Parts: sequence; C-alpha cells; structure tokens
Amino acid sequence: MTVPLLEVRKLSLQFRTFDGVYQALDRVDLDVAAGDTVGIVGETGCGKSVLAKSVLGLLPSPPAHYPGGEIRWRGANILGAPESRLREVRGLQVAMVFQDPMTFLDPLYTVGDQVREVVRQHDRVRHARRGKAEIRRGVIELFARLGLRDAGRVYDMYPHQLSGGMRQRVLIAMALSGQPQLLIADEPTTALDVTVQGQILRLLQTLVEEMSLAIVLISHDLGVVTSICRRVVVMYAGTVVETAAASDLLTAPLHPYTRGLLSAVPRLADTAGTLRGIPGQIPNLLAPPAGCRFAPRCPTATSLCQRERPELRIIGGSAVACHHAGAA
Amino acid sequence: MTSPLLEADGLRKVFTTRSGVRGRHANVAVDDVTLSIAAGERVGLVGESGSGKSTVARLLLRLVEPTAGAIRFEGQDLMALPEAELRRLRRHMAMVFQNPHTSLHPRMTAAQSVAEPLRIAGGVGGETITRRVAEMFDLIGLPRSFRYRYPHELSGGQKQRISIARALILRPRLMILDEPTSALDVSVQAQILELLLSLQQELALAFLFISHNLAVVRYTCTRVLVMYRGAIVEQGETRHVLAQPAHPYTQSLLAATLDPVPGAKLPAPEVVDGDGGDAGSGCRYCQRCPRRMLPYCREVAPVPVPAWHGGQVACHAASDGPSEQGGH
Amino acid sequence: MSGQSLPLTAAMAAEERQARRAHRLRQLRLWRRLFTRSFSSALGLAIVTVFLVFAAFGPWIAPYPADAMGAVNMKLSLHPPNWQHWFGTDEMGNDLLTRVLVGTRTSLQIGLTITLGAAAIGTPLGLLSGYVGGGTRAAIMSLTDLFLSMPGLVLAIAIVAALGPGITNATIALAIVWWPGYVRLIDAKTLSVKEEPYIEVARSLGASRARILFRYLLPNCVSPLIVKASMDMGAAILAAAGLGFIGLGARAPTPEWGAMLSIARGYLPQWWWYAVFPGTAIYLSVLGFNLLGDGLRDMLDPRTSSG
Repeated sequence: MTVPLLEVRKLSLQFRTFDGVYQALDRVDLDVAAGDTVGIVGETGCGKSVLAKSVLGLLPSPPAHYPGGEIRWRGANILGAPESRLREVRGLQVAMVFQDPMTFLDPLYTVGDQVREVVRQHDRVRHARRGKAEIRRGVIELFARLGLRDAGRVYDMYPHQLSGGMRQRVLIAMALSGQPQLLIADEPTTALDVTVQGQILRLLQTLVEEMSLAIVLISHDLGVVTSICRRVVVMYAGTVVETAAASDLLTAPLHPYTRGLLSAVPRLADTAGTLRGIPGQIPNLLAPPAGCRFAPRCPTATSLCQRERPELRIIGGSAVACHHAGAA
Repeated sequence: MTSPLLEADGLRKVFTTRSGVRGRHANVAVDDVTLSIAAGERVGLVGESGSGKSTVARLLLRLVEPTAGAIRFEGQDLMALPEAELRRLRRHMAMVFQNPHTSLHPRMTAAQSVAEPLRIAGGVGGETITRRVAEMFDLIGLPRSFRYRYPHELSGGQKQRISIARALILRPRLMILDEPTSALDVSVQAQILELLLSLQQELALAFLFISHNLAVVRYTCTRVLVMYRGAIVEQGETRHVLAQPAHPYTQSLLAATLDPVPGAKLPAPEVVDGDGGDAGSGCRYCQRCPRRMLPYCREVAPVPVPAWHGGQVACHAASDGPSEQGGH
Repeated sequence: MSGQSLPLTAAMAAEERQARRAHRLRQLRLWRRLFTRSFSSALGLAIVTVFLVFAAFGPWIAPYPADAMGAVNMKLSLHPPNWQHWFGTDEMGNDLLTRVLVGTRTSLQIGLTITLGAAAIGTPLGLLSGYVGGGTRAAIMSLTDLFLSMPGLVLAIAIVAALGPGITNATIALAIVWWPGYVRLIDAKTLSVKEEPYIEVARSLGASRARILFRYLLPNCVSPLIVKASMDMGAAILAAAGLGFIGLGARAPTPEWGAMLSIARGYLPQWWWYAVFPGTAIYLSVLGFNLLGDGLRDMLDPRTSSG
C-alpha cells in the first residue's frame, strides 16, 4: 500500500479583486502518493499554478481566500497552518520549481551562494549547523548529480553566465537541497528550448527512480506531461475534469474537454486530419457558469449540464466530472 | 518555373557589442542565409533560441539592416531602395509578431489598430476605412462590436486575430509570421492555425511561418527550413524532412518533440558537451553533434548540398535517406 | 466567414456609440474608485479643488475686495482674527483672508504656467532624444545636464535679476529652470516604449517617424506627464513663493503668498496671524497637489489599474 503524501480534498479558492470575487478553484481533489508521477494539464485560467502554490501556502491571504476544502500532508491538514508549520514543510518536505529560471534567480549573487542560502535556511529550521565549506561541498555534489558539468566552477558563476538548461538544473538543485519527498514543477520546461526540455524531463525521471521522489508536473503541454507522468489530471476553469492513467487518457479520453484538447494539438506523426480547436473561450471566473463550467463550449452539453455541476465519477481506472461520460 | 516572390541571397547579420574597454564582441546572428519563397507557398522556418530565425524575418523586411546579402521582392532589389520606396513596398509584406499582448498599442482600439495600415498608406477616406475594417473583422471571425475594445479587454487569441487582420488589410502578397501561436493556449492555437490556413487559401498569400514547434510547422507548411545558430542546416519538403531528416540537428529536434501519444519516448541523453563557446571555422553544430567526425567537422564548414529528399543539407555526415536509421 | 461589404447601417452606428459609452463608464468607475478607496488621494483632490475654486472665483467671494489690491485702512491695522476678519488684518489694515484668497489665483497661475511651459519645452526634446538617439540624444542630454547642474532657485534668481522682478519674469525664469526634468522623464519613457513590439509593428507597416512619434510614443507619455505635472505644481508654487519671498516675484500691491510672508516676518511673533495664514495656504496647496499626484500615479500605473 503506497503511502499517501498529499491529499487535496474539495479545495476551493477565491480571490477578492477590484472587479469582484474571482473563483479560481472549485472543489478540487488531488492525490499524490510516494513515488508517484502526477501531471496536471490545463490551459490559461485552469488554476493549476494556484493549486500548486496553495499547497505550499504561497498565496498571500488577502486577496486569496479558501472558502472550503483541505490540504493534507501526510495526513495532517496544512491549509491555513501558521507560518512556522509551513516552514517545516516548504523545501524540506515539499519543494517547488518554477517556470522561468532567469527570473527566479537573483542576478546579483552566484548560483552557488543562492543555493547555499537555501540550505542554511533549511538547517535553521532543522536546528542543524553546518560549516560553509561543508555546505559548499554538498551543493557541488548536488549540482553534479543533476548533470551540471564542472560543478565546482558552476558554483561560482552568475545566473546570466549559464544557459537556460543549466539555470533550470540550479533551480532544481535548490528545490532538492532540503531533501523533500515531493517536488512540484510548475512549467519547468516552458521557457527552455525543446532540445533542452528533453534533457530536463529525463533528469526528472531519473530523480523519481533514484531518489524515490514524488513529482507533480504542471504544464499546458500534453506531450510533456504524458512523457514522464503515470497519471494525469486535467483541469479546466478551476475544476478537475478528468483524472486518468496517462495511456488511458491518450487512447480513450472520457471528458469532452480532454477530447477537444487532444484533437487541437498538432502532432508530428499525423499525416491527415485537421486540427480542431475548441470553440468559444474560457469562462469569466468572476461569474462562472452555474452548472458544468465547460458546458458553454461542449458539443454534447444538455440542460442538465447547464444546471448542475457534475461531480467526479469513477469509470474504470479514471475519474471524470461529466454527466454524460461513459455513455459516449 | 515562375520567378519567386521573395528571394534572399547570402544574408548575413553581425551584431557587434562592445565588451569593456578591451574589445568588441561580434555575434554572427545570421550567416549566409539563402532562401526563396514562391507566390502562394507556405514555407516554415524552424529553429530554437539563438538560431537567428527572428532576425531573418526582420532582415527580410529590412527592419534590421543586413550586414551583407541581397533581398529581392518580386524581382526588385530591396537593398537599393530609398526609404520612401521601401516603406511603400513593405505594404506587400506583412508581419505578425509573436506576443499578442505587446503587438497592439495599448491605447488604440482594435479598430484603430487594424486601420493603421490604411491610414499610413493614405488616400483612403474615413467611410472606406470603417467599412474595410468591418470587413476584416468578419474575415477573422470576430464580432464587429469588438472594434471598440482596447487590447486589455481582449483575450490572447482575439488579440492575435486583430494582429492578423491588421497584417492583411492591405492585401499583402507575403505574410511573415513570427511564432504567431506560441503564446496562446493549445485550443486557441488550433483556431488561429485554421484561420491562417483558410485565409491563406482565400487570399492566395505566401507564408513564411517561423516557429520552434516542429509539429505546428508540419501542420501548416509545405516546405521547411531548419536553422541552427544563424545558418540553414537543412531545407526541403516538410513531409520528407520531418520523416527522415538528413541533418543530425533536425534529427535531434524531431526526437525532442513530444507528441501526446502513449509510449512517447524521451530523447536520448546528449552525449556531447552542449554549452561550448563559438565554433571556429567549422560546423556550428559540431560541439553537440553525435555524428561529428573530428577534426574535420570542427575545421571545415559544410556547404549546402543536395539532400536525399530533393532539398538541401549542410552537413559532412548527412543521412542518405530512408535506408538510414534516422528521424522520428 | 468572409463577409460581404455591408453599408453602415444606423444599427451599427448605434452599436458603436454604445460600446464607446460602456468603455467610458468603466473608466469613470476606475477614477471614482481610486478616490473613494484612498483617503489621501481623496484629500488631495478635495484640497486642490478648493484651491482651484478660490483661484477662479477669488475676487468675487472675497469679503473685502477692495483690500485685494491694497486699500489703506490704518485704523484696522494688525487686528487679530475676529468675526469681521477671519484671518485678521495686515499692517495696512487689509483683510488677510481676502488677500490670501486672491493670492491663490496668483500662485496657482504661476504654478500652472511654469509646469505647462516646462512640459511644452521638455516633452518634444525628450521625445526627440529618446527616439532618435545617437548624437542628437547626446546633445540634448548634455544641455539638460548643464541646466540640471545649476541650483534651480539660484539660476531663477539670476534670470529674474537680469530681466527685472515681476510675475511674468519670475514665471519665465522658473520655466527655464524646470524643463530639464521633463526631458529626462520623457526621454526615459520613450527609450523604454521604443523597444515595445507594437512600435516595431508600426515600422513594419511603413509608418513614418513623425507618425510613430506623435501617434504611438506621445500617447504613452501622457500618463507620466500628468503625474509629474501635478506633483510639480506643488514644487512650482513653492518656488514661486520663494521668489516672492525674496522680493523677485509679484510686485506690491498684488497679493502673493511669498511676498506676504516676507513682510510678515517682521511682525513675528506678536502679530502671528500675518505669517501663519499665508504660510498655511502655501503648505496646504503644495500638500494637495502632492497627494493628488500620488493618487494619479497609483491610478495610471498600468500594474495597479485593473485592466
């Protein structure tokens, strides 16, 4: 029986803005067990990034507001936990890697110093003390493990002297320096060249195997997510619409949105067929539709769909939030 | 054989930056690029960051002055034209830029942006302008009421449609698109690509479609040019180049493009050091190339030769075609 | 999807007007929201409005209009604030409230002229230097630096001393001292906007330099200009009062806060009201403009204004 690490239950998130209340997340569920590779896929406004940030309590509390739900880490609820508790979790148990390495690294300090700073933070929380030289050695070792050649030299380099791929490896090093059990990677390859992307994804896969790290990989790119994740969660407009094993999702998608996404992605291998976009646009989350949030754009929507928000139902090995799934 | 619409011969662009008191650093962004586009043809230009593809686009419009080389549009030598003539010729070559959020003037309404080319060209009355703008809105599939919206009131896809309308209002013969869908969601991208293809057909436009995404290029272009660090390494018919590429770089690009299909494999780890400095006089891809033959490749720059697929390839170790193990 | 050419129908024209109106309403909502949300901005706006009213209607609402230009009433000389003279009287027996009120017009007038004049000189120079760059920019910036390196008030004094005292000359002097600030601001803004993709788009469409300057760059400068101008008003008023204080501004008997303060100095501390009220007027007007400027900046900052 795998150990459940992260359990998000019916999480709802609202933002109080000038224009009204923005319903960013609506009763979202997510499960990650030890060694899992879970991908979260969705387009703009689906809430995948804020979901990740919520796990680590990174959203400032006004304007963010959680009207309901729980975030359980190893059984204990950390939603709304005090800073002291969150600091024990951040970096040491759950770490996050962000999208654009250039903006997340301070240009004025060497990358080695920045990672060392993080390590010292962790040590403080753990009430450990390590000398500068010892930390430096540890960081260089970590750099080497993450594929940074000539790690000793890289330690003393500044972010602008490194390539995009190297910077992302540094960010990953920062994230792993606390030896977390779960790594959340939010669009880690989006800002990178496609040839570098492959290397970073391979690195993440290796980390899962060698360090039995659980990974949540967030991306708008279905190809990226399904390449290394065993399970995929599809989000739309703040809700989870489908959760399935990657292979099942790709061969037999259950939710109309997933199907729409798959038919909209241009592929190398396809020699025939037109791309079909999804007509319409994402709903305004200041005033989301009452029933299923995808109903206005769904080719198979009925009046039931417009009235009632569908709950996630289990069909086979997947979960779908659609009134008509399984019947198609 | 009809004369091509646009021809570029030996285009070269060198950016010199002053580094410190000591010296200048020359960055060869575009190195001896020769290409031609026939009327109504859809040509793709593929490359990663630093490949020079965006610079090529700007050189073709002389938005950036070439260091060397010739550009001919419908037989006319662009380099010889005085500023005023050049400005008039630019109306036949329109450009759509990548980031829809910054391509529109924030204080101009959508209608004003679309009308700009007409106003700049002059000689068109107010009523005619209003009518032509309304027609363009119909053409790009936006409701006419959107004319009075400001960019911040439009979504990314809508903004990109406005950019396209603005590019097409003078009925150019060539449209250069610099990553027109990279900043858009997948479902919106599909809509825009479909729009572009149908417009291309309807208006008999020639395309130069610049992208880093091979799948998108496969979908939209009949011919493709692959660039790496300023040079065209391979060109030919899309279906051939992407099926069995002759150049090792194209192969690595192909391997790195992840289609959302079950069992998609991550590209093999890069065996060679990728982050080296400038190449000497030899092949620019030498440092990363799995097929390099040292010291030959490092010293002798490859020239474009006919490739197995009828196009061209610049490589000493080019694949000979379907008989070789290569490609996707 | 391709439409036929439709004539402009009345329905379409009406739809156009409605869309424009909706947009304007939203803008107004934003403005209103700003001033109701931020107390300091609202306060700033209120103060400035009050002073504007005084400037516009001063001579008509003043209780003793004759005193505005210095009637002599020795019997009323130096009376403390009372029910007939809310601010008391000065040494000539003039009602101080009247003189302060009418002085508003003088001060605000000078302030506005200085600011507008400086903006009118500085903005085109800034646009030119930012957009053209190279030698032109070097030349304009050197000139600007030259002026900026001279202590402003001292330079103004020198100019006024050369031209002769008086409101007009004081205004000219201060405008000459003020314009470099605008050049710097507009130059910086132009430099940053110049790189924006939509400028490149305009060039690719064949827009002339002039068009880009006026149609694309200038509108982007309006916001920072408004903010700077409103904050400068405060400083301009202060500078004008400063010149008046040393006798280089308005000539007697024109009521001017700085000049009044200069004379009032000799009557401190016993006849305190003579200095306090003009001084407070200066203080409040400067405060008002500064607060207003802050509020405008927060509102016009594209990051904080929603949408």
